[in-house]
Amino acid sequence: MVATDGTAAPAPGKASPARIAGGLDWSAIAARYGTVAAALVIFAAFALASDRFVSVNNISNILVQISVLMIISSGLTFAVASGEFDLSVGQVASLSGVLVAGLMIWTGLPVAVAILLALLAGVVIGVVNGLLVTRLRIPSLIATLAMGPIALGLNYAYTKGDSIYATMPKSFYYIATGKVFGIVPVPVIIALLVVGIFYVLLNKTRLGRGVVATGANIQAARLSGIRVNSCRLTALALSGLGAAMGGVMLTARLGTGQSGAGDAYLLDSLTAVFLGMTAFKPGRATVQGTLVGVVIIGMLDNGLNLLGAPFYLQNEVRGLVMIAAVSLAVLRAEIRFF
Amino acid sequence: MDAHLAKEPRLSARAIGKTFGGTVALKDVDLDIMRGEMLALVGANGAGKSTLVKIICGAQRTDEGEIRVDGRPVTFATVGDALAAGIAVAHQQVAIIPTLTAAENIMLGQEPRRFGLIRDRRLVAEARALAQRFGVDIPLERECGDLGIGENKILDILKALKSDPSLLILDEPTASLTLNESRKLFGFLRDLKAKGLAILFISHHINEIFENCDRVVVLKDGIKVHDGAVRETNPDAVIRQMVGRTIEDEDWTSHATPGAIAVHLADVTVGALQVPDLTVHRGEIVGVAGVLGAGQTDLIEAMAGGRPGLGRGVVALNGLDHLPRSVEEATARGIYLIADNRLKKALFPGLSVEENLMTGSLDQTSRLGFMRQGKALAAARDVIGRLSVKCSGPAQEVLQLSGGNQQKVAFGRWLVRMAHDPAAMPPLLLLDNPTEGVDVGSKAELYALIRGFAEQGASVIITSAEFGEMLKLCDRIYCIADDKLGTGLGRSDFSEERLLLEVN
Repeated sequence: MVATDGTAAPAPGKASPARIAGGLDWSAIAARYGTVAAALVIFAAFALASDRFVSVNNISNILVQISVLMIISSGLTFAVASGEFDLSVGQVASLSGVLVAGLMIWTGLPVAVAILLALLAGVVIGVVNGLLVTRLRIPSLIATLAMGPIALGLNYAYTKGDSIYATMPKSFYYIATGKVFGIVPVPVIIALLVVGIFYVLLNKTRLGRGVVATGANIQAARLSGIRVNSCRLTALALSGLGAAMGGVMLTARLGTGQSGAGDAYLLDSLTAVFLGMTAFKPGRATVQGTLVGVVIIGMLDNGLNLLGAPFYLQNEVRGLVMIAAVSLAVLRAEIRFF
Repeated sequence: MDAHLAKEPRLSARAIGKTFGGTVALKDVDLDIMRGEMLALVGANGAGKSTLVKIICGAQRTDEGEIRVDGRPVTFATVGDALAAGIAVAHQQVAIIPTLTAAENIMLGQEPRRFGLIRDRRLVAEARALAQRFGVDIPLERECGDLGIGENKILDILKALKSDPSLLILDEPTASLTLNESRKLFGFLRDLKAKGLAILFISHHINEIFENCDRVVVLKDGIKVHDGAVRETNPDAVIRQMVGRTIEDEDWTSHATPGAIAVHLADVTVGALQVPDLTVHRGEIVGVAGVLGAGQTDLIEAMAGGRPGLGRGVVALNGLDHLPRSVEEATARGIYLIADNRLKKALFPGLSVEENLMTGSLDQTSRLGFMRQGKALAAARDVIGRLSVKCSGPAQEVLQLSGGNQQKVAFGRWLVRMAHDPAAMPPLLLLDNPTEGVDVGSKAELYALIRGFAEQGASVIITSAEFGEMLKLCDRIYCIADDKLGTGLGRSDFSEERLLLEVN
């Protein structure tokens, strides 16, 4: 049990809140905003190193680049907040990506219907993940790890392993390339909308409260009358939905349905969520924290590119950032694994 | 061995004193253990038994006094030092790995090796030699998971005997054993005694002490209050010395409403525990007493929908005619559980006070799925004020609060629910060890709170590791013995001695 000075002591009289806040002051602020500060430092470093980094064009570029990751990571945040992992997000994104392309081009469905069906596929896989975890009691780490190759198999079965090349309806490309008022990219607006909705869901709803409680202490949650299994299942379904949305947007950006397009998003989104767990509310997966993580990853990718760093360095940096994020959190006892 | 040495105590502790941050744990305690003697050390929770044992086995330093082994003064800085001096401990928790064989477990950490590889045959031979020396007849090639708990306990003691100690300390060795397994264990211990080993035996079971030990030492509040041969005393006297006082009645009055039955269980089974009859009236506070792990937690959680139970004869449970199938079903009927082991089962350590308080009433404090933030905050502030929870505000992490304030938050969760769910009144409160790790001041506040609930017509079922607490609070107490809930004791039958006898 941790007791912080000035709060645990049965101090007689009135303890002024300001004084208590003063007692916690620096370590708490560092814990909460250290990651945000790191993001600012990275921003400043790249701004100094490359004169192209801080330009309207490049910033807008970064935002477009990270919009897919923002969406996938927001969904994953829900799963992690409920205490579960979802290692199938990459392959779910890939599957929904080829599905939406195939349904439009091969089946000739209208854009909206194709998108809805592709999203539905993600939700279905998420629900299956949830059922595996809650009904068969398979740890989510294993259940979702197994679901990845299953999604990949479905993906290959559908595409026969080929990419889906063909001109798609203009309205579909608009998702990824459109601009509102000729300046604000549509994907960024969509991503921020999704982030906003997930934020509200996690923080302002009964479901979100239940999910957070389940993730914080599943036994206490159950004994408080919270339907922990439905919380876990819903969280994994939302994670699948987020992955599917990301996959659809990715296809719109690439202009083709590629079988493996979304796979790489698993590591990036996990890194973003773990980075996020070191920000704002240390130890907790929060949508706003994940957003900071996504921004950090996006800046690193883009900045290293601008500086002409060799392509493999990006991979090294990704891995290192993941290790740094998790070790920071574990060292400060903010996250416990297993 | 010369005659002089034979009379010298194997271990002799003189004027041992230990203080923890102003709290006296041990004061001026003398303890002698002779070779070939089985000495029982008893005392209520917090009497100082574990501190004394820790000092003897080198896990803790003493502040005052000295320890002699075979007449020579010693100072133990580590457990290793004590082990080298011939003092070995078998802890209450069995340190046996179920997937290893009995032989592998016995030799764990000291496997005979050559070129870094374990010599399997040599290992089995050494284990067998040890087992034979102490007359243990357990199939050593079997995996421990396939053996009984009693056999594993004996293996665990055998492990401790590997270092060839002259003093063996056993911390509640029979806590998880059946009667039959205990008998076997004592047979084994008598053989060890006959070989000249000194045994220090810690137990809550007074009866087995009188059946098996030579001498009994009673600690109370860190002071030795009795030291004498078992033959010259009796269980009642020892229990009285452990308790040291009779419970004063204070200003006790029952608020039970005659005839208004809130709980009536007849012929219910929860896990191994049989409940022939349990009746609680409205306004009544009823205790369920038992030794640790006797099934009181299972019973209480089953009534709260937290675990399944077999109820052929549930007559009434706050309006239900069966055990609730889920916590949801229970809370809908105003049946509220405060689980034991606060940080593991009752609270969300990483979440804020407000979030913790709301977890029991998410449906009641939300509309169309959206939390009514203002309402939640107001409810949290209200409870913080009513229970005078000391915190910097609703947003503080509950882990940062003191134990007493954490427990108030656990109570507060259901206060919020009651305020939002008037249909489910009067409630049935199920309190599992509600003052565990709570300071004296907060305890008094929690007692007042519990009494207040009863005065307003709530029925309360409570268990506690501290029997004195139940004697203070309860109108009636049921005792668990041999996996069975006995008949309720009335206030006139209340005494700590009686409870200790009933649960043994």
